[in-house]
Amino acid sequence: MTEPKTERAVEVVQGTSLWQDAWKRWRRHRVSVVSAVVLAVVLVACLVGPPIVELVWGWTYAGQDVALGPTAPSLSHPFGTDVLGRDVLVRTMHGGRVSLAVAFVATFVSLVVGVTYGAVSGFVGGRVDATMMRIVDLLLSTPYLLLVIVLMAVIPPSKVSIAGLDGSFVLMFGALGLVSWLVLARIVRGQVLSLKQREFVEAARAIGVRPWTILFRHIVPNTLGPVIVYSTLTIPSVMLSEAFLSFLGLGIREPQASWGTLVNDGANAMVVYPWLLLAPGMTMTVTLFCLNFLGDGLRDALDPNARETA
Amino acid sequence: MSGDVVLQVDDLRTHFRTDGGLVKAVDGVSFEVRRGEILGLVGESGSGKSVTNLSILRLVPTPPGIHAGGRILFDGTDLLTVPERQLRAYRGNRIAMIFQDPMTSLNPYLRVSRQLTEVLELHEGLDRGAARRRAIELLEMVGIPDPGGRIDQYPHQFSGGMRQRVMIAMALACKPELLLADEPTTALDVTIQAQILELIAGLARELGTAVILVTHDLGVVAGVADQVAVMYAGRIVERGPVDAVLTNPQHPYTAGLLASVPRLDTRGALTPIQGMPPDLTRLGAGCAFAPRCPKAFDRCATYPAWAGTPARGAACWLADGGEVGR
Amino acid sequence: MSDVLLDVRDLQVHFPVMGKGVFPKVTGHVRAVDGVSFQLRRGEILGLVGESGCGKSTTGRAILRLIEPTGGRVVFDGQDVGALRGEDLRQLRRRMQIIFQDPYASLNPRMTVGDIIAEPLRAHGLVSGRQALQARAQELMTRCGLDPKFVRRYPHEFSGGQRQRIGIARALASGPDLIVCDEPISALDVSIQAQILNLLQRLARDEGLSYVFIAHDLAAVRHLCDRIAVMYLGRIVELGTYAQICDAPAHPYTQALVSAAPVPDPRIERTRQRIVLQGEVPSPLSPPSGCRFHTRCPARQPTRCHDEEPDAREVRGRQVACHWAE
Ligand SMILES: Nc1ncnc2c1ncn2[C@@H]1O[C@H](COP(=O)(O)OP(=O)(O)OP(=O)(O)O)[C@@H](O)[C@H]1O
Ligand SMILES: Nc1ncnc2c1ncn2[C@@H]1O[C@H](COP(=O)(O)OP(=O)(O)OP(=O)(O)O)[C@@H](O)[C@H]1O
Ligand code: SF4
Ligand SMILES: [Mg+2]
Ligand SMILES: [Mg+2]
Repeated sequence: MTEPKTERAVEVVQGTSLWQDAWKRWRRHRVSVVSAVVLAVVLVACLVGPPIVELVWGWTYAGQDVALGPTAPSLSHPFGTDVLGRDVLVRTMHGGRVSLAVAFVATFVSLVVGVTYGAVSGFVGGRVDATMMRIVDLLLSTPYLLLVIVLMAVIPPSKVSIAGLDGSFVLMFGALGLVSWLVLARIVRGQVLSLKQREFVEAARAIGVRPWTILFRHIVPNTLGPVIVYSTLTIPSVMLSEAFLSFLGLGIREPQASWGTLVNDGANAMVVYPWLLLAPGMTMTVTLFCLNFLGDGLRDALDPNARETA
Repeated sequence: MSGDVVLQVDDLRTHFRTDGGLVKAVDGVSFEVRRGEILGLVGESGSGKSVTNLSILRLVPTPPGIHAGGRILFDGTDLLTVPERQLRAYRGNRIAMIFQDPMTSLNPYLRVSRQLTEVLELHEGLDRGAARRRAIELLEMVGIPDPGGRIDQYPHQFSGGMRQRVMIAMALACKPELLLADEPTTALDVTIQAQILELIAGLARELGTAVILVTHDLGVVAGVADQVAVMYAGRIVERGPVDAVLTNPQHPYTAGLLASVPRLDTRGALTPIQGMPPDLTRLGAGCAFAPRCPKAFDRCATYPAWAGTPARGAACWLADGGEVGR
Repeated sequence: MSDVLLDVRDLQVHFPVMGKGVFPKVTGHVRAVDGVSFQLRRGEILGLVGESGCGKSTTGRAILRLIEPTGGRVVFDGQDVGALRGEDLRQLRRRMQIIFQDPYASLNPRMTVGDIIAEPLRAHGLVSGRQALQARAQELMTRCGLDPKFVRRYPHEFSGGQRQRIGIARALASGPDLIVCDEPISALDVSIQAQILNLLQRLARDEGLSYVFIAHDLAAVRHLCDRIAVMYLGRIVELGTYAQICDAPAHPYTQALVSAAPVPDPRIERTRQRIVLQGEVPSPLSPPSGCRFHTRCPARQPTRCHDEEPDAREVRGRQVACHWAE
């Protein structure tokens, strides 16, 4: 907020918005802050790790060294190598890219679609609302895995590759995004319904504020607290779904890797080469934990009175 | 007036440890209530009325609450030191309590009959049948129409006024010696309020129950109380018989309140008390009312000594103690 | 320009009650407002009193068409409010405003006070540009007794009384002729209520505003209003000047209401005749036959009160809906 110079005599006191308040509360939540830092480290490592490793040592996620074969963690390969002699560190970081990308993109899609859908449904109300919510019910009652499996089986990945992106990625984004907005839409609709009854919304109506302005100025900003909290919990659930789909062989395909596929491969070779499971498994677990703690902290900060409702 | 003191509160201090600092919600409160007497405890929101009441039964959640001192003598025992088990025998039996919102003190999932008979079985030792007959009798006494038919309903099927009457019936059940009524009529309409106050006054008159009636409505105090204690920022600033306090207030705060409430019998200009109630975490050493007091002067920077007797007086440098009664 | 600003004729608001089940059906109607008529002159303050649930707020909201009336007409300054659509209705909102009871719920917690107050100006394009809007908000704050330097603060940083002032400033922003005040002081501290009452009174005088002032506190209504309408179960039972209503009520319900309103003077309280009504307020789902008040009325007479609904008629210069009042 930049303010041109004013000659007004009264100096203006800056208030503390609810966001700033929440930020202060959140900073006191140690576990949540530590989690955020760890997540940031994982994120940065996954982003800049692979190119750096490639530059320095020349390994890529797909680069094989069959002669070398599986080796335990050592100074030259800190996380060891897999059966094809690929560096597990690079593969873990690369897998993180895929997993996190899937999770974030799907969550983002669900955020945009879910918030808009839920807000419109709750705000317009009446028949429109009833119809829109029946659609959500219908989709929710279909087992989502079935939906995804059918989708992925029917559409060959090669047909949908967009802008050089692998088709299986695109499918995964689409499929997970498609199902993960449903619950969010319901949450937002519930919020909107109750906010619609609140007096400050009635006040806005009484003032003569236009309906869509009421929705986006007064109602939606007040739903964002729960939405943000829910989103931080959506990310892990999407990551797990991705892992599960990959585990079933429906998701990411070789030589691409995600944490899901890495854990799957690692689990198969667990007894002989435990490090293959350990590296991606630990990273993924830590990430999931951190996301959950982060969500907890955000909930306490954004919604200090309503712990039990979330 | 009979002389037997039922409850004596002595320099009670209840504090809360909060994020914003130490809240001295009750800070040196002393008063006594006699048999059959109604003490009106008035003061605005946050002045510590409810906390005083809750402290008497040790119902203040600790933490964040701290019992920082004082004594509460009930029938010779200090309620602040008796073991929790023994205290439970007092609660709901010899000391009853009713709250502003009866819905929060009635269990929404239990029929009214069950909640009433439970008390009777527990404290009076009646068997099922006798307890039920007595419960119906009690509901009749508090003026619930068709008590036999309604006793098996759930609390939400009763109106606010009727729920409050059920609470009073529960309080009546054990013929308590002391009734703590925390804003029992604030949520009710005036016509219903008149009924409830009438009931409470009858309780004091006929059973000799001592009553502490918490309210912020000076009119309610004028109507039913015998004695008044005015609280401000966790302390009692004025105390005395209701006539004396309301017609010849000694403390500027009491006078200010009286001048600022609109009255049904006249239409004079209102003189509001300026400013806002104080922040309890930032109380200085002086009189807490000083920043809002039209008569404040340099002496008010130290907390005023009590002027008058414990039974009639005020905590103000300008108070002369006043005459008792008239 | 006619003298009558607001003409409410036979206003009705019925809320459908849904049954349970997968395809809920309408099982009845809450007759929240059931035939209310009154006129408000320019610059006049009309009080609307009655017990909780009698339809005061619903009447107020239906006047502003925040709720669609089921029947009747609301004519504001010659325009039929019920006939207005879309943009025309929005334009009219500039001239009719509302102040709410709950100073916490009625302000958007995520907007600064300046934005809240300036919202009507922005919505109607009366002022444009950040600078101008803020300056105007500050001016309104000053007028309502708020420090303009707090223009960028958020609602949660203010006390209840200050928030109510923010609500008042917002209502004033678009320069309305009529403000519906829905219990603007009942959620406030006793010592703050007078501040707000005085502010409302001053604004009405200085700006020539008209109010429909809703309250259940008869004393506050008497203090502020020129005329008073007493509601019972969705209808006006008596309508007259403040003196007529408060000093010599004619309807049995008004008499009970006046007699139950406490006065903070023990000498008066002791000598007053209090009419304590028996029974509960009936449900507006199925109001009693004949006179709606007959189930609780101390003056009812057999068959006629039970069978025949009394029409409003003139008694001692005011409107009364009772068969026997004189
Ligand atoms: N559990 C608690 N934790 C922290 N502070 C508390 C707690 N309970 C009460 N307080 C504080 O103690 C002070 C006195 O509160 P109390 O409820 O006694 O006021 P009151 O006089 O009953 O007001 P009201 O008229 O609003 O009921 C207030 O400032 C309140 O914020
Ligand atoms: N949206 C609604 N749906 C159904 N019933 C309603 C609705 N709003 C109000 N009512 C009912 O209409 C009646 C009148 O309500 P209203 O809020 O107008 O009363 P009031 O006189 O303002 O009471 P109070 O003093 O408690 O504010 C009540 O019985 C209430 O339960
Ligand atoms: S019409 Fe009859 S019941 Fe109604 S108020 Fe008059 S006397 Fe009472
Ligand atoms: Mg209290
Ligand atoms: Mg209302």
